[in-house]
Amino acid sequence: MSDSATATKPAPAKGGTYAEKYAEKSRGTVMWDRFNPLRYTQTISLCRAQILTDAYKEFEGYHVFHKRGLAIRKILNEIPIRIDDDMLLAGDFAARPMAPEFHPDLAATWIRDYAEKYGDKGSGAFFGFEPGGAEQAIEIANYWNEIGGKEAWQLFQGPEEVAFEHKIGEAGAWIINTVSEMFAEKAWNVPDLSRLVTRGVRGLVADIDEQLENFVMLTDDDYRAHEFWVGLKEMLLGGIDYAHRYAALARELAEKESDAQRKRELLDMAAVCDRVPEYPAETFQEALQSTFFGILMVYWDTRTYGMGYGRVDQYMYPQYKADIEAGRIDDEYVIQLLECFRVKVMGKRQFWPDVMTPNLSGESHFHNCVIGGVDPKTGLDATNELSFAWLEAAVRVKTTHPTLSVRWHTQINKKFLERAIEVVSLGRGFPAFFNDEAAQNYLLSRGYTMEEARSHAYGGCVLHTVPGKTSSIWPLVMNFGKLMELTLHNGWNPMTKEQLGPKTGDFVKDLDTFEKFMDAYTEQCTYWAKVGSASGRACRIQHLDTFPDIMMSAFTDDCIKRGKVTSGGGAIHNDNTMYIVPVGIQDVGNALYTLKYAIYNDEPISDRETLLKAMDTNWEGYDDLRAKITALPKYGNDIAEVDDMVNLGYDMIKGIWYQIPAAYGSHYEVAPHSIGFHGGTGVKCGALPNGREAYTSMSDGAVSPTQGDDVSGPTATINSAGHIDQSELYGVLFNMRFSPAALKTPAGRANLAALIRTYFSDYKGKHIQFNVISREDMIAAKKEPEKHRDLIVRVAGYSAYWTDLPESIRDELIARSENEF
Amino acid sequence: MSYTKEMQETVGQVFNIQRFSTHDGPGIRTTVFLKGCPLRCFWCQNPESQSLEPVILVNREKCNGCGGCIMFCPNKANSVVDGQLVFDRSKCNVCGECISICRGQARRIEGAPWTVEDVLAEVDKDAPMYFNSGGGMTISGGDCEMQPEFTIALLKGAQERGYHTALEITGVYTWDRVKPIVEEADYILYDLKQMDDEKHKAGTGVSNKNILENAKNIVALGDKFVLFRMPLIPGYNDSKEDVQAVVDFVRSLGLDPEKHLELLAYNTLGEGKYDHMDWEGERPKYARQSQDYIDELNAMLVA
Repeated sequence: MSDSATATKPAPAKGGTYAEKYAEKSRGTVMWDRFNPLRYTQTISLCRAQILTDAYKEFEGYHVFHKRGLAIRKILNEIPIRIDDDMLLAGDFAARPMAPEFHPDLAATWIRDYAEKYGDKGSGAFFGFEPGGAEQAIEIANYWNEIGGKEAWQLFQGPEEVAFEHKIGEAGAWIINTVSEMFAEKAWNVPDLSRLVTRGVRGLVADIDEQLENFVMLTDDDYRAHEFWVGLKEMLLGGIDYAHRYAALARELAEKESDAQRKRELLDMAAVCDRVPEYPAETFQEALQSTFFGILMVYWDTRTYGMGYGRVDQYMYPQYKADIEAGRIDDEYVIQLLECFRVKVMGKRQFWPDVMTPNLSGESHFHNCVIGGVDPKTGLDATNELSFAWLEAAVRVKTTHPTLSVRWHTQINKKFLERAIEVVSLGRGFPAFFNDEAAQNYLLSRGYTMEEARSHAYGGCVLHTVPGKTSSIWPLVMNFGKLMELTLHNGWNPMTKEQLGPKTGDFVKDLDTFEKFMDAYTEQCTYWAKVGSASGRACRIQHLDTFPDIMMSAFTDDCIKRGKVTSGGGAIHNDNTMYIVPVGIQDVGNALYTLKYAIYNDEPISDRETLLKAMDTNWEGYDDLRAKITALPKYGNDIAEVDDMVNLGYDMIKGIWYQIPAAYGSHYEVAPHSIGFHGGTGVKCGALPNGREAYTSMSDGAVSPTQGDDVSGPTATINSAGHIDQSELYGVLFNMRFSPAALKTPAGRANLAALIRTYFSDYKGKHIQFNVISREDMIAAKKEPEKHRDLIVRVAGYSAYWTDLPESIRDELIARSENEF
Repeated sequence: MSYTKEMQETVGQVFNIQRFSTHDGPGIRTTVFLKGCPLRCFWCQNPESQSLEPVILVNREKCNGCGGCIMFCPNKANSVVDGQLVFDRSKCNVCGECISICRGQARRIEGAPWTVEDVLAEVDKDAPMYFNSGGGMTISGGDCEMQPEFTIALLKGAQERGYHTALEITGVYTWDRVKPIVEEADYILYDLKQMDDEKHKAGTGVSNKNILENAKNIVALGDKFVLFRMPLIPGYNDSKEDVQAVVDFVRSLGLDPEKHLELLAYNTLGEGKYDHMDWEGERPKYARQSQDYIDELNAMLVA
């Protein structure tokens, strides 16, 4: 690695001019103000799809691994590149700013329907094309007609199975999502990007070359291993090509640049791109740039939905420290670089068929950046200057992504925690807080070493994952409220009027005890678990032939040594790579409470026949019964009997799914974090015995009370969430709402810190995030107070429920809150 | 005196137990509001607390017209006149039948007999939050002086559990009644509404003589943190002269007003409750002081 030692290190000027130029408007904000409007007007880019299609034609005869290696390298060499004004980082998620790229290798034919239906203009609600783009998209889709990921999977399934899954999936009864997973590429794990920072592409290529040198082909597995190494090497080298294109472009722009400072920035960028990702990073800018190139290399291969970026304040810290000690850089410049990173990540767009839209949360790609936590070796607090810098950058540039997550532990740096809660009080919804101890205990129980457990980060929203140890993930989403509806109707789906599930007993005639009802519900859930898991496993294995996560494998142990793609048995750990996302368990818990304590009890509030009729009419004409049900205790109010029913729901699900084998060892895990699915699944679910109206949203998260049910204040809600045994659950999401005024003072924020400590340290909760109520929310609450029964506002010296306040105070609060930010 | 079995079973009139109470003493607290108050402040924020007897509050904004209260009231106290719900309180014996039947959850009853152990079982629910935040239990009202045995038993029980205790007390009675109560608390919240006795009588119905005397006595105990609070009522006590008099008084006790005196800007929260109680007498209606003016007054606390 002699080249690296002699290369010139970029040495940005310390302080001074950088800060002055962006004193009024931060560097990130200057750029984001330019890009943000494009989110609504930009058209879809077909560049990746076209280059990929050309490459597939050019390299048609190669094995899929080798072919994809060549194709992705071609993309990295040919995709149009640019360097935007004010930008310090190279690399992009699209050929044009804020454009989505299309991945026909994941799923292709849907775009043909979209383009044929809407033409270049697009649907209006969604992206359009450049002139002629619709036609081009159709041509591309035609090529992928039978070889796109989804298309090939459906050939494997055969038409009958495809029709069945259509019937039970998003477009049908929405029992289990076998369809949307075909559009959401696989990630949700955390690749170990730090190895690119510390070893560079050359280091990783050396590992491959070592395997190739000693290679003897004896089996078909050996053949696939060979093709995997060759393919991966192409992609890795493509990363160097990609960086060198940016280096050349930066020099070209620098030559034309008249502003001396910008000229210098461009030359610095060129020097950085000369060196990384090819060689180990030596400066902070190189470390961040190399990380970003690593992300992009995976992105151009498999799009990286839900891919965690790891412990971003840790693995770039040595370079940061070296820079600071050598006086090459100051914190102001570091924050500006991180602002650039935030703006870059916002450039990743989503382009999906309509069937996906109701289920996903805005444009989140769930790229978790983890800060804080402990040192893997010593177990001591690992907070450093970069932990603060990441917060600061997020405060300055108001982008929603990437999300920041703080790893909380009992000896967390107090100043850091205070600052993190201050950021929460700004009402941006992050950082989220995660409990080190709970995550580590889980990981230890899954066979990780203490050092590995302590080095965990987060994939997706809330999945505690050790970077570089697991493959991409195959989730299944299932609405357990819907399964209860099926149980109540003996396997019949009232919405589509057909028998979908097994006949598990007639609610009115057969299920005459609570125990019998639970047995029937469990049987119904077990049946659908078998259906869903079989499809999930087969899809994962079959996908290795069409959409293998090759580039991800470079950052996962022991793929290179094993000669296997990470999802195809390459990853050293295969636990936690297949899981169920159960939706609606809080609804289920409340419904079970109704059944146990108000229907199957000595003095029932209704007979079963009447209850069933009331639900079938969506409570029309049964106001009294519904009111009685509404008045029953609900989860989230610190009432043990009903909280136990939520535990009962999770226990049943764990009992079923832990028996189900997952691919490459281990079993299915249970990961309750509804993402955006509580909305989409709710639309297809009828009324339930908790008084829920048909076709409304299911409850969100995992242990958050059903919207509006928590009327006993935040401590009661935390007690209820803490009542749920989370130890064996994989990632458990908990949302809470707070008014900005509650967090306005240091004392208020200290109380929030105490709530976090209680939830984590006393109750071993896994995750908590805070929604700080904005003025807009209050205006909505004023219009429809009945929908905001849980809204707590700080009035003067104390809190009050919105619904308890007279109109005049509501107005006052709305007016007052404006001054509070 | 220990926390006896008799104390555990003592019954008091409680009208609210507020969890996550964060402004009545340090940290996260549960505030127990007791019924009954000897004062009749014309700006009272908790008019439902004045009487020792339970009272029914009706929030007509929430009424959905279901008619349950009309049907189920054994005394026929509810009726509809000209499309409006009329609640004849003279016929009502506060039996509470109309509360659970109300579909709009528009009715609530304020005030019920609680045993000390039942109250503390409610307080216990947030125990981890107290320990993690330096919080605990606060007793407020009403005025606890109306229920001294119950208050002492509550404080004893909380101490037994290791909770920090705060007590809000008016100090309107003589020291022999006040002393055994305040002795049991760690932290005292104490209102100083007006230094001028004539004005005090006019505004609250009682003299401030005992109140000021007891303030001195409490501070002299020496082992309590005392936080004086002054609710600022527009036109009554929010002039600079009124505030200065209170500041001087606090200083005369040897305490730093910056740490031991809190000025509370007027808030309108209580106003709705007067409607819910069908209040017939005078009722407060003021605008909150401007933040600038509050800032000016707060500046007077700094030496």
